[in-house]
Amino acid sequence: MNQPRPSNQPPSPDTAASPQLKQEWAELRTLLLAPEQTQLTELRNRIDHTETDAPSVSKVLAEAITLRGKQDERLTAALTPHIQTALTSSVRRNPHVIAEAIAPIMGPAIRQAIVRTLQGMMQSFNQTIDHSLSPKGLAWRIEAWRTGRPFAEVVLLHTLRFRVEQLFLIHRDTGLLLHHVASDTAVIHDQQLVSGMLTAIQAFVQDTFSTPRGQTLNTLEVGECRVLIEQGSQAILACVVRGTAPGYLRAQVQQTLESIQLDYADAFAAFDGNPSGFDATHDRLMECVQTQYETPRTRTSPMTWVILSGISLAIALWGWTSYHNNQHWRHITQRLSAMPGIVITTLERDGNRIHLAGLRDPLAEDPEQILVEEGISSEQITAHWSPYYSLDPPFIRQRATAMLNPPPTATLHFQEEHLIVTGTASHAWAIEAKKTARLIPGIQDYRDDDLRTVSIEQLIEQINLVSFLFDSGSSTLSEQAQGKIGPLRTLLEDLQILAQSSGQHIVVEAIGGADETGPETMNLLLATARAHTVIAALGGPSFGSHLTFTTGIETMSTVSRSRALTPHTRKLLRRTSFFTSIKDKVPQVAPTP
Amino acid sequence: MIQKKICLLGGFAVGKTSLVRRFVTGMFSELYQTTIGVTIEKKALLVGDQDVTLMIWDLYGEDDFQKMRESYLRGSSGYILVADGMRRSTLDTAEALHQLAQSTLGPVPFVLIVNKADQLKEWEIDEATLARLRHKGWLVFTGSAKTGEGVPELFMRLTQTLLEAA
Repeated sequence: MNQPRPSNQPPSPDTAASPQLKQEWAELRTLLLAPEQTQLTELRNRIDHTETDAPSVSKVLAEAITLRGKQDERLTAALTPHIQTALTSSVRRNPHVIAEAIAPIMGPAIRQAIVRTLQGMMQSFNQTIDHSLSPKGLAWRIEAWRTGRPFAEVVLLHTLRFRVEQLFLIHRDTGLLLHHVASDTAVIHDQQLVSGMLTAIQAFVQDTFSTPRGQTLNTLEVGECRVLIEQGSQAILACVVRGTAPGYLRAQVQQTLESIQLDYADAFAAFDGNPSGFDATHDRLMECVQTQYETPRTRTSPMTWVILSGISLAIALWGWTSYHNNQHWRHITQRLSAMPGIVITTLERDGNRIHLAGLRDPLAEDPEQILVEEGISSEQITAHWSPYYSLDPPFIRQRATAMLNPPPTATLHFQEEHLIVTGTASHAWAIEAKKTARLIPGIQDYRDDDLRTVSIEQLIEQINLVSFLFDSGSSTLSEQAQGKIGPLRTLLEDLQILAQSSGQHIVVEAIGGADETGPETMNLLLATARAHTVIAALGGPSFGSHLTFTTGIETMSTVSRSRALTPHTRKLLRRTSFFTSIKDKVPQVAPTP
Repeated sequence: MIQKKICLLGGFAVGKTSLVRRFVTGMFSELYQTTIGVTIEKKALLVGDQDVTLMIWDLYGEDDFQKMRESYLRGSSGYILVADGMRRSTLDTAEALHQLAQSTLGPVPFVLIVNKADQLKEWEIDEATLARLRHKGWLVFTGSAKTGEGVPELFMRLTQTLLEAA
C-alpha cells in the first residue's frame, strides 16, 4: 500500500535538458498557459509604460476625482492654482470666452451688489436721520462739538456694539500676509506691514516674558479697538474688532483658523512666499466680518412712564370733561326743545359763544333764562328770535285770557281747539268775548253755554230778597239761617266783582229787626246786634274795595207806622234783611264798622 | 507676486535703518535714531519677470546691552549683514550674527555690506579682510546709505539669490 506510485510528473527541464525535450516543454507550456502568458505580458507593459495607459486612466478618471474630492479638500487645493493659471491664461488669450461664460451670473451679481449698496446707504441715511433728529442725536452732536470729534465717530461710539473691521491671515513662521479681508468702512493701512508687525509683537512678547510654548499674545487692546489673535501651527489669524467683541467671536475666529489650516495643509507646506494659494480663503474669512449695533433698550425709563401717565390722565380728564360737557349740552338742548312756544332752528357752540336762533311766541318764557340757569353767562349768548304764535293749548288759553280779559267770575278752558267759558260774567262782556274769541289763533270754536250772564241790578235784587230770621230775644244765627250765608256770600262776591269791573261802588245795608217784645231800648240793641251778626258771618265789613256794609235797624216803632202787625209780621220783625244800592264813585273813606 | 522676508543684521549704529530708508524711500537723514526692537518696511521689486515684495525687518543693532532675538529671524528667507567700515569691531559683530543666523535659519542666502563708503579714508576695514570673506563665499558689497552707492544692487542681488535658491 505504501509503495510509491509511479510519478506522473514530467521530469524537470533542468534534469531533462535535451533540446528536443525543451522544445516539447515549451510547446506544452504554450498550449496550456498561452492566455495567461498574454495577460501577464499586457500587465507588465502597463506597469513599465504608464504613459501609454491614458485610455485606461480616462475610464476611471471621473470616478477617481469624485472619490478623492469626497475625502478632503486636498484635491481642490491641488487643482486651484492650475485652474487659476489656466483661467488667467485663457483670459489673456481670449477674454471674450470667459466674459460670455460668466455674463449670466455677472448681471445678477452686479444688481445684487447695487441693491446691497443702496440698502446700506438707506440704512446709513435712516440712522443719520434718526440720530440727527432725536434728542439722543442732539446730545451726541453737542458731545461731538464739545470734544472736537467728528459726529460720525461719536455716533459709532454710542451705537456700535462691535464691528469686525479686518482679518489678517498670516504665515506663522515668516510673518508674511497670506490673505486679508476688511469691512467696507474699515480704514486700511498697509496690511503687509501690519501683518509683519503683529508677528514681531508676538515674538517680542513671547521672548520677553518667556512664556511657555503654546501660550502667545492673544489680545491687543487700544481704546475702542481690539485685536484678537489666534495662533495655529501654520498660521496666525488676527481679527481687528472695534467695540466690545462678544465671546463667541473668538471661538469663531479659532474655528476659522483651524479649518483653513486643515484644508490648506498642502498650500502651507508648499508656501514659498506666494500667497495666491490662499485667495480661496476669502469667503471663509469674510464670514467673520460682521457688525452688530446696539439694540434699542426695551426697558422704558421712569420718566417716560410719568409722561405717559400724565398724558393718559390728561386724556381721561379731557374725555370726562368732554363727556360731561356733551351731556350738559344735550340736557340744555332738550330743555330748550321742550320749551313751549319755542322753535329752535340754530343752536351752535363756537368756543365759549353760544348762538341761538328760532321762533318764539311772545308769551313763551325767555330761553336765555334756561341757559343762565345752566350756568352759562348771558354775555356768552347771542340770540335772534322771530315772533310767532304757538298753537300749544296753554298758549292759546293764555292768549285768549289776555285778549278776552274775562272777569274773575268767569273761567276759560281750552280743550281740543274749543274755548269754553264758565262762571259768571256780565252780559256785555259775554257778547264782546264771543266776537273776539274767533279771532284768536288756534281757537276753532267758542262755547259759553255754561256762562251765566247777570247784571248788577239782578244781583242787587237777589240780595235784597235774602233775610235771616232770629229767635225771639236772640242775635245768634239759627242753623237754618247759617245755611243761607254761603249763597249770599257768593252773590255778594259776584256783585263786588261786577262793581269792580264797572267802576261802581255798592253799599249793602244790613237792616236788623226786633219785635215789640221787651223794652224799646233793648230791642234797638238787639236789632243792631242781629245786623252785625249777619255782617260778621258774611266776612265782616271789609268785604271788598267796591262793596261796603252798613247797618240799619227796623224796630216795632218804625214798622208800626207803615203797616199793621200780624203774628207773621211780628215774626218777620226778628230778622236781618238787606238794602243794596249803587253809588257811582268808590268812597274814599273807610266803611263804617 | 511673491513675498520674501529678509532681515538686516548688524552692530549698533552701522546704518541698517539708513540703508533700508535709502532703499525704500530714496532718502537719507543725518539725524540718528536708534531702532528699538524692530521696524518693518516693504519694497516691491521686479526681478526678471517676477514681482517680488520684500518685507524688510530692520532689527535693532546688537551691542553689549541688546542681544539679537532669534525669534525675529525666524521665517526669514535671507538676510543682510551690515558693518560699519569705520569700525572694525562691527565686522566681527556681523560675523557673529552670521553664525547666529545660520544656526537659526540654516543655510539661507545672505549678503554683507560694509557701509559708509562715503568716508573711505576713515575706514578700519581693509580690502584684504573683505577679500578673505569673499574667498569664504560671502557676497560682499561696499556702499553708502548716505550717497545711495551700492544700495539697490545690494537688495537686488540678495533678491535674485533668494529666487534662485527657491
